[in-house]
Amino acid sequence: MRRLTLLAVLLASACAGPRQAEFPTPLPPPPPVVVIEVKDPNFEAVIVEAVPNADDEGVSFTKIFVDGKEAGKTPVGPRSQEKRVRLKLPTGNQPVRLEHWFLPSVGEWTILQESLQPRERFVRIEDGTIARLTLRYGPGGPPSLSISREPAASR
Amino acid sequence: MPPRRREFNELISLTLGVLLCSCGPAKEAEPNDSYQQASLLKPGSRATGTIANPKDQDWYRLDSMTAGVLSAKLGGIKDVDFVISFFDKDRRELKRVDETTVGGDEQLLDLGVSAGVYYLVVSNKNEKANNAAQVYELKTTLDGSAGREREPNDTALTAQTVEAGGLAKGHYWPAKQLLSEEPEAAEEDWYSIEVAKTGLFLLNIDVSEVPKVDAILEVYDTNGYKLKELDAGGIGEGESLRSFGVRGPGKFQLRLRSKYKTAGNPDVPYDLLTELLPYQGATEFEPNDQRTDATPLELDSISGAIAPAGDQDWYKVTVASETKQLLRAELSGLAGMDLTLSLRDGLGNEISFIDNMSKEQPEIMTGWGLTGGEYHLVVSEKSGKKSDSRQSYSLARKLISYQPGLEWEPNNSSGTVQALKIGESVDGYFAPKGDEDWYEFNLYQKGVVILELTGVINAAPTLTLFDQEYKELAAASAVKSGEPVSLERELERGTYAVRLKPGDAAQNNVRDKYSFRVRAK
Repeated sequence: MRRLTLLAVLLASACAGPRQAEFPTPLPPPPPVVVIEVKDPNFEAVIVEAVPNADDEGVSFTKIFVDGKEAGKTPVGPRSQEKRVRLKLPTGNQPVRLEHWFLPSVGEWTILQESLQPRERFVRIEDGTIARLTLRYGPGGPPSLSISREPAASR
Repeated sequence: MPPRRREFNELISLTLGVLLCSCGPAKEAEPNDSYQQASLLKPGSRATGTIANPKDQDWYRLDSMTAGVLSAKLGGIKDVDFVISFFDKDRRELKRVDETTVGGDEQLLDLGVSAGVYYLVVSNKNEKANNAAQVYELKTTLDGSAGREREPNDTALTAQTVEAGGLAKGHYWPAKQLLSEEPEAAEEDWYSIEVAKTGLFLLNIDVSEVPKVDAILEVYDTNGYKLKELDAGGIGEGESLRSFGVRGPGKFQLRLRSKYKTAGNPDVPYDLLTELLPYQGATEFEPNDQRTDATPLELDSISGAIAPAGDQDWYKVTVASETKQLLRAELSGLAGMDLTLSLRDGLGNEISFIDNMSKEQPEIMTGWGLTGGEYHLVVSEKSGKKSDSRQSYSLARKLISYQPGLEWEPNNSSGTVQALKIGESVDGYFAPKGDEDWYEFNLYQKGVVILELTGVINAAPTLTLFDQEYKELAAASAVKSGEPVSLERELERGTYAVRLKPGDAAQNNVRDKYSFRVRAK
């Protein structure tokens, strides 16, 4: 009986301790997409970045310029997280430029080099619809920019 | 006849008699049915004997004074189905041959011997044999072992060590491997190559052609993993492995066999020729058949071969600079083949496929926009059925710093459109086949805009103007190949896209650039 007790204690101690180190706590789920909302928006900017390596992960945000003036910016978040900002812009055909910023591992917020910034383009802003400008950064090369439109009531 | 002359003649006759006696075949001394009773047989000499009854076994003992390669040929006699076996001094059977039926000859070839005792055993398989009178002849030869196969080398464990840079002459014989545990096992010859020095090397292997045999050559690592299998040639053709990359120090094994189990050839030997060269980055480093094995393309050009059929050669291009670069690649043509070139990203996804030209013509990737990272160029033969290790292609690459005024591929869709300012021009190519180029400009005040495209040989392009939501506004086409195109239009303030596209998707030109300009009137 004493031997059995000793064996049970030994087994219990063998199973304890190191197991926790072998199986680390799972990573938390990615944070939800943050959307900055305004009342009756007619424009939405969506920024998607493909980050192939975990080592390249960092934080970033994007400023939105309309006719040369800053009109808003996305929330700051992990690069791999999709970011959205909704704005109410003056109606008409507006030149819109997105400006992408990132935080390097050392130092201050830095603007992405000019050759990798998206081009300025006109976006027709109309009430009752949301013009969506989507900026996508793939692995290497300049980003792609696409535009789509949906009724304002759909969201 | 004078006495001296008579004495001289007697001496000559005696000498000749002795010589003739010693040259004649040794007769078996029955009973020689076991190793203790074995008849002595000098390696390189002949013996004669009979099969007294169907179960008769004749043992011959060979005392080899030196290392060498022993072969034995047993002449067939009526009614007898011979089997011939070779044993070492401990009566371990090393090789057995039974390739023919009743009345047929049997041959043991390329038996590696060192100084010591060996046994040859002649036996019969035909239970009804009844030919005690007819004499068989067992003829042996002993040659030097340099450059020769030394049986038994039928397994990875008994692989014969060969020096890289050397030659081994052997036979696809016997066809059957009778000592294997597998009843239907075919003969195979294993060789081991040791790379003693540290570093990267290229191993070239040539196996000569042998009539009636379709050879298969395989390369294994020390863990027994097959690294390469070569079966490019057919029956009566050789095999050739070129630029197979090996890391030293290390050991590699070669397995050579006939594709068809019953096909062997005792008369014509194969030559196995190996060559080990230090790797200098100028040739492909096989195996480079997949992304993870891609050969680094660090020099301006590299050469490679398409072998075996279906071969894909992957090359890794590392772009260190984070600035915009254009990658240009030129692939030479190969006789009898239509080569294609594929550009892939770091994960192996295809970015661009180049197949502009036909058989025996070069392929050119005119320029692809890249920033820092890893990319791959993949060379393959279009049909996947052709191969030739004797001829090499050349793949040249050039990284050019991007400058404004140059086309930036990919610009094949409205999503990857290339920005252009009013008053600017851009030079680009209608290539590869099926290419279309999109440009976009902003007009900050209403005005008349003129779009001008120069002519390019072998292309009759269409120029199409779209508004900022990609609704087509206007289009103009070249009258014929090589002619320019222009379009004039009054436009409101906004963003506009222009698509340039040859009238026929097959039209392309990797040599001449077009020039496209947007200006306001």
